[in-house]
Amino acid sequence: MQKAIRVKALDVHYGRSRALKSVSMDIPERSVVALIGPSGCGKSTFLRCLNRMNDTVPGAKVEGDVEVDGHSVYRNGTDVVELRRQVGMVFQKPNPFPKSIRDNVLFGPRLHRRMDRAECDRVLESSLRRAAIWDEVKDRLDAPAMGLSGGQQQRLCIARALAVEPRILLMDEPCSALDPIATAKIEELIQDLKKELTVVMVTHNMQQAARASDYTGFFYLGELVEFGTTKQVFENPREKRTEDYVTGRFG
Amino acid sequence: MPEVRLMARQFHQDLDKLKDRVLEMGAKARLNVVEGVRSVVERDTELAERVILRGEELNRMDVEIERDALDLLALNQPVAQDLRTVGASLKIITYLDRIGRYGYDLAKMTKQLGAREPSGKKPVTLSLMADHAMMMLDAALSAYKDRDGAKARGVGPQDEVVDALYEQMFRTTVTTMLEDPRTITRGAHLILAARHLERCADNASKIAEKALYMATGERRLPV
Repeated sequence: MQKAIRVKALDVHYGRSRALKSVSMDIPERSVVALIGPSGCGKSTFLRCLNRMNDTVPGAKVEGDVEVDGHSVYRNGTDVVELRRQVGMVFQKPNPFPKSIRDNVLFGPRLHRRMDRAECDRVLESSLRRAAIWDEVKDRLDAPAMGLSGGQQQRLCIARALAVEPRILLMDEPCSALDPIATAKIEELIQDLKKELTVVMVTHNMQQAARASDYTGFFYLGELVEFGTTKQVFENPREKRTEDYVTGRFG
Repeated sequence: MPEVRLMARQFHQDLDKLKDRVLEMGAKARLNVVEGVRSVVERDTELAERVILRGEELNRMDVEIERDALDLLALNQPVAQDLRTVGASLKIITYLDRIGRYGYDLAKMTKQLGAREPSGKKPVTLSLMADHAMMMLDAALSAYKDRDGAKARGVGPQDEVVDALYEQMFRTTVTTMLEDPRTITRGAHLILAARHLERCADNASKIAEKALYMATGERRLPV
């Protein structure tokens, strides 16, 4: 299978503390990867390395390499803006801009290129449809995004990320602020999205990792302890530490 | 996250209780077979009566343990070894129910044979078969109890011995029936009894397979 992302011996320091310890992972194209582990284990740090979001963290030092579609993202001359177009991100708390639904979705595409009215409408509709929220907002595209419910806001943020046509979508606990129904919608959406793109998500919800992902990585104290198919990790983990964590025997 | 750990501890205690109940059921099923066979070999109708009375008990345990196991699944969504333990337990109680049922059927046979048939030679091969099948059951349940994959692996190959004893029993009984038609009713019953014990050994092998899966995640595919 084609690899969407190859991570090789990735090391991250924040000042003097070592947040990631030589992590390597190959992520197949069009798959959903869940990253699990206790708070502070490095999974969000790992996620942020994939589109160089750690560049903006003061004192962060990244060693090792990340390849997206065969191109090293940490080599000199990488266009970080283009990288982040290809590798989009959705955060834990829905964070729509205080603008209309339309402006939220079109914000990214308009930065990248000039678009006429017809193209705007096309991108708007297809992004909202892919994020499974079109039917709920199509009659109020110019209403403020802040007026939507939490679950709708999160799907709007996904639509906003999709509008720039990324190949990879990173999600940092995308459902932790949502109720079970909104969560189910996002999980369903993730299954649709993987037909076209690769999804890497951090989650604290073990059932969600089990339900929604194809591969699971377990991080502990900055180390990738185990990475395998979700079925294997949850049915028969190879590592004792993984077993202890997923069965709640930790600590 | 103290509550999480507390909840997990409660769950693991419940899981241990589930295992204890399965082992308790195993001991009862075992007793059924041991006493069922003895009742046939010794023509002990009183003993047979006791086994028959216990029949209901195993049935009830099967239902109760299944209910508890499903509750654990519904409320805790266990994974990894915990999931395999619940899954293996659910299958094992079915095998135990069957083993206990064979003991029950042996006891029924004793009552049917009663005193009306000439008793003939004691069918000691039946006792041998029962001993061997129960040794397999003990090993399988002990592998389940201790999550011992190596012990579980050792059970299956022993099935051959019980199969061989069954063959032997079958041949000698048929010969006796040919020689003296008055022994036919008794002989037919004895062959059936031997068949029950052979099935007990098969079920013990199945239990060992589930114990192996629980301990190691390894699944034996039928050959």
